Amino acid sequence: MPGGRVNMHWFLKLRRCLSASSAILAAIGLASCASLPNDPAARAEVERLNDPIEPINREVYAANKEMRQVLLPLQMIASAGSPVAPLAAAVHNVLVNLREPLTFANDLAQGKECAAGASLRRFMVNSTLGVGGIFDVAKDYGVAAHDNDIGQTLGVWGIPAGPYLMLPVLGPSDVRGAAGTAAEYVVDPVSLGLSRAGWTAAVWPIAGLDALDRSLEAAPDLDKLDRTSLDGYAALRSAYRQNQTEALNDDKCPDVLRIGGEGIPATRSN
Amino acid sequence: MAPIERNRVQLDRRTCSTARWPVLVSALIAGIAIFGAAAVAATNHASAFVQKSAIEAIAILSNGALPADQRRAQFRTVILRNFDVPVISRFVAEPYWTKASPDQQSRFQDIFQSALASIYTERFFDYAGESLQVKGTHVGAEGVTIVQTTIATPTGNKSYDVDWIVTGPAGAEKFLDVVIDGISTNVTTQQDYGSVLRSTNGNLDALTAALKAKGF
Repeated sequence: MPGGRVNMHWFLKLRRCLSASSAILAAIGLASCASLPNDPAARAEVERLNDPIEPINREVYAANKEMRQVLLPLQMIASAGSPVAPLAAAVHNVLVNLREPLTFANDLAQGKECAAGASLRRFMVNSTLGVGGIFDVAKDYGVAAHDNDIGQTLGVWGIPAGPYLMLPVLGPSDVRGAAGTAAEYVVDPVSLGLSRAGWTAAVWPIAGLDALDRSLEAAPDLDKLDRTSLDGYAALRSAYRQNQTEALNDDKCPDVLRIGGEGIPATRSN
Repeated sequence: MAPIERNRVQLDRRTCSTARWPVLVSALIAGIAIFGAAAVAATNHASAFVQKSAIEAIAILSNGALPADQRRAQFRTVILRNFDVPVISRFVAEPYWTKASPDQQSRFQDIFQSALASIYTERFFDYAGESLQVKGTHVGAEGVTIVQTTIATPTGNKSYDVDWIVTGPAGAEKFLDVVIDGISTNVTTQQDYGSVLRSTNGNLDALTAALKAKGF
């Protein structure tokens, strides 16, 4: 049974990763697993990449890649054109809607008022007209979902990203982002609300589904990056770091909510 | 805004204290007007170039009469024609490019152009039937023009902010880079290749061999 073997192999790798990730903090303390190159230019580049536990990260990256293979059938089922695609889209929309309160809180904490207005509007419109978030009505009005998280808030507040981390299942991150993700499990308004209503049992299944949804959403882009790069790990690390920089600078304001409502000016000179 | 306003006022006072201020001011205005007109012309050309290329690309991608591999081949030709391959080759192999011999550089460039075509074909091949919306243009560093666009995925689930970095004179524009949600294709490729080059002591031939082995 080759399929079973692949599954088992992936599971063993995941177990190895989980024990590896518990060793992550200790490893960061030790600062470096790999020796620095002698060439000054290469050495400067390695220092700039700030990836002291690269060997462990690469193991996790490989395990995540195998996990994507395991999830491939699910990805096919969820993709456009399949009979259950509308159901998959509904589940995705509900999960995105449940993220909005936390997104709103982070938009506010970062002083991104327009973005906060967007996430608030989305949550109100999609929870009501969108039947509990099943339909993304707000997107049709030009207010598409945007991402925001505690890691980005810490970044906007001036806390450095720290060493690069590859998290099991969740993918690329850094120490700041991982701390933010951990905090989100504690302070997410939806989880808090569910717990208060006595539905504590729903919190972890929702978190699990959310992680799965994000994995499925990112999978096609990750596969493309892998197919066209020589060192997929290095390419993803670069892409993640660049995207983080952009996310901190982006006001995340949908064009329809900009003052004047005409979008950004046609020309702008630096 | 406030410090800029203050600077302006100070500049006015200083120019007013000289007798030649009308000449200076009119020269300044003329200068701004000429520079401004040139910049607007450049951004218009660049924007038109992006739109023209997008129309050409979408026509290929959504041509149902052709099998996928032929569409792919046509798309690759368009990419190689519209991207500034020599400049991009140099960029992605830095800082090791300058240390390589001209022969090594030309061997690398031959293989790299195929890799570059694959990178952009993979990236955009699924976008058949989508139209791209130009949001704005501005002049960037070293005279390049940045055309900001939004592209929605075919299912409309997600939209990407895509910046097209355009270089070259009107009528002979080329793309230098495509930046998707803040991720520069050139920088990502440079760091990908950098990892390979560091592990081979910066030997450009080793990178060329790795690209060949990957099937480019």
